[in-house]
Amino acid sequence: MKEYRNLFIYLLTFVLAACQQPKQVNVDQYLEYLDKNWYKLTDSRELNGIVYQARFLPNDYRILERFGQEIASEKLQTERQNLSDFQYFQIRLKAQTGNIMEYNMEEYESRDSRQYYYTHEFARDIFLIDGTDTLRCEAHQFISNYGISPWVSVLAAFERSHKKTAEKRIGINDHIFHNGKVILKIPASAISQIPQLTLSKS
Amino acid sequence: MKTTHWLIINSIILLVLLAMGIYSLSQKEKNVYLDTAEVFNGFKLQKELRTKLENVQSARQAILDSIQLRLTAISSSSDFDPQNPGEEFFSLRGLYQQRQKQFEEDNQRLSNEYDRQIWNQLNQYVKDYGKEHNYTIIFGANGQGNIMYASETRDITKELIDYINNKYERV
Repeated sequence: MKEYRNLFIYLLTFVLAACQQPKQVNVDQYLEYLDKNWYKLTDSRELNGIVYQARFLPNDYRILERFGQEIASEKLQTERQNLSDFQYFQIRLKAQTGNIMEYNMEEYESRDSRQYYYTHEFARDIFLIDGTDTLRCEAHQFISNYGISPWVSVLAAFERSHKKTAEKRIGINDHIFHNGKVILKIPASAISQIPQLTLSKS
Repeated sequence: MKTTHWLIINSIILLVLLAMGIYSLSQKEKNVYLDTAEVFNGFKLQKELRTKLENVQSARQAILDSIQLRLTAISSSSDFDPQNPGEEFFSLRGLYQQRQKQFEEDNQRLSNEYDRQIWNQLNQYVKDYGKEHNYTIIFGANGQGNIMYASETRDITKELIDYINNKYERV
């Protein structure tokens, strides 16, 4: 009886441990998962006509974006190593009405001054609360919309905490729209559930 | 037959009156009020920005105090001549006045900016709260006469403070 009980405990532990491991998928499955589940990795809120949005970008996704879906397994491993110290977020802003680069413009502002702010100064106004750590933005890249997309988009990089995956809170304290500190949240579970991309060795 | 006829009519009239009564009561419940100052002071962003502003003001005051100390040291020295204080004294005094004016303007500008940020967020959250709870009007009572009296059952101040802080921190 005791042996059966112990066996049951071992089996249960094994099953639970197996369930904790992220599922391994190929490129198509990985992209399909993200397509269906971006909403879990994204948070938005609207304040006074401005929509603030933050999205967690898995490093593997960024690698596929840059090098294509035909990337070799060795190249994937190399790029994973290169990006291992950082975590990336896409931060976007949009005006509910009109063009955000001209929305509620003050007398002293111009479209160029806003462009300059988002290109060169926005990084100092973004921070990440990763669990209990508050991290500043290490690097950011402004992606111009050329007046075509309603969104202003910034790619922000933060130091990666190598502790267990924690809830991520992005803080945006933009100095254009005077809305104060805006906090957006990505739950830890959404990040833990991302499957692991596996390529067959070529 | 006639009795039944009147019974039906009376029942319908009673039901209509009852429905109007309930509707009227439910409408009155839709108008609530909040204590503006309490909500403002209870908002976490306000507390954070107030601390930030106080730190900036303290740092600036320390700079002014340092200049003031040097002025006092010069004027207390044995060879100080009030009729001819010297170039250093005039220079420091000018610097003190210039900095004082600059800091006052900057402090005011910063305070106004922070207030703007706080009210931008507060107004949005109160609007969201009103929509979620189907309120018709939310009055802001500032203790200066716009609401002289209202029943405590209509006071949403405490619930609103919890709501806006949870919204702000994305709890």
